[in-house]
Amino acid sequence: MHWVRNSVIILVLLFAGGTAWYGMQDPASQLPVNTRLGGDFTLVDQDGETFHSDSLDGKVVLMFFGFTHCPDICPATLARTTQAWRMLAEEGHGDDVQVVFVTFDPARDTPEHLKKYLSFFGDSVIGLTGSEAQIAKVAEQFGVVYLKTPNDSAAADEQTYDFAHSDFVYLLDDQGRVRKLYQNDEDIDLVVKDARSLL
Amino acid sequence: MPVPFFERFRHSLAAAVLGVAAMPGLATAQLQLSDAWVRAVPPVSSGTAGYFVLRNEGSAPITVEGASADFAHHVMLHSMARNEDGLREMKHVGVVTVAPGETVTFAPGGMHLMIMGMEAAPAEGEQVEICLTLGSGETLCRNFEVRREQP
Repeated sequence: MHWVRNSVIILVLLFAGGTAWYGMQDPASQLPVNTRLGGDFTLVDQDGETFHSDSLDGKVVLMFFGFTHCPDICPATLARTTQAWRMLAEEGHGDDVQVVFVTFDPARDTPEHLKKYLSFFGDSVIGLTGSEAQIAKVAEQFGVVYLKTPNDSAAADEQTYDFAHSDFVYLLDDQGRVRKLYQNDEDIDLVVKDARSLL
Repeated sequence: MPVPFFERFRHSLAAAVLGVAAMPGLATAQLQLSDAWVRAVPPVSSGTAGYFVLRNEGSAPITVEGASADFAHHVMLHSMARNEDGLREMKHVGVVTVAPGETVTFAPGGMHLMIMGMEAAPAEGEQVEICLTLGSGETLCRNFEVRREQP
């Protein structure tokens, strides 16, 4: 029965060695390509110019969807993603990483409004809007769902509606492929580490 | 049988204690509001959110039924939670009850004050006063620090 025991030992050693080898690889190899989400898209940037996703090629991208009239989650996510960008910029990767914010509220988030709003978070963010149809298409590509909901505010004179929406942050590699999704309150250090692994 | 004098006194004492508990002014003394801050938002924004921690150090539940601020048209208690479809959804909350000895936290991604109709967004570093309206009719006012990040 020695051959059985020896075979088991060899298998265990092979497995352990394989695991150790895998662990020593570039961390980038540990972020699988998400083949279900993402793809090319065309929208309008905060300067009112047509924006095609291929202009992001060569950059690692942190992308998320929201609307600027959102008081809680969206500014928090903008603050966190731009903080991640600053941390990477301090390491000299400022030009290799891009934060992209896509609104699903084009009626209020015009290019002009996006430009004013996003400048508060520094000049590292590309803000994208577009037609309802353009935005719906991109949202579908990224599996983002958003539903306009009435805001039960007392002020009838204001445009009062919100959105119930998915709130993932997407990490895209330099070829525009989705590599990881984060909850909006994900640990910044992990996001930075993952982004760095794709640089 | 006549009620002994002491028994009558005890009832009066109990009534007096209950009376004090119901007196205006007491709920605000028992409700501790701390860690108050408002999110700094771009000047172009008409709305933002406020956060704080409430602790009831009394022996009776305390309810918060609304909020107000001079710098905004209206301030509402909101919850933020995932709905059954996994989407983040805000909802107006009519009443928040803080049980005796309990703490209720308003924090990003959860319950928050939705501050709407600001004529000018307060700048980072400023202090802004926000008042909570309690079920007792009292108001609890505090300065909230305007900051970009959670303290």
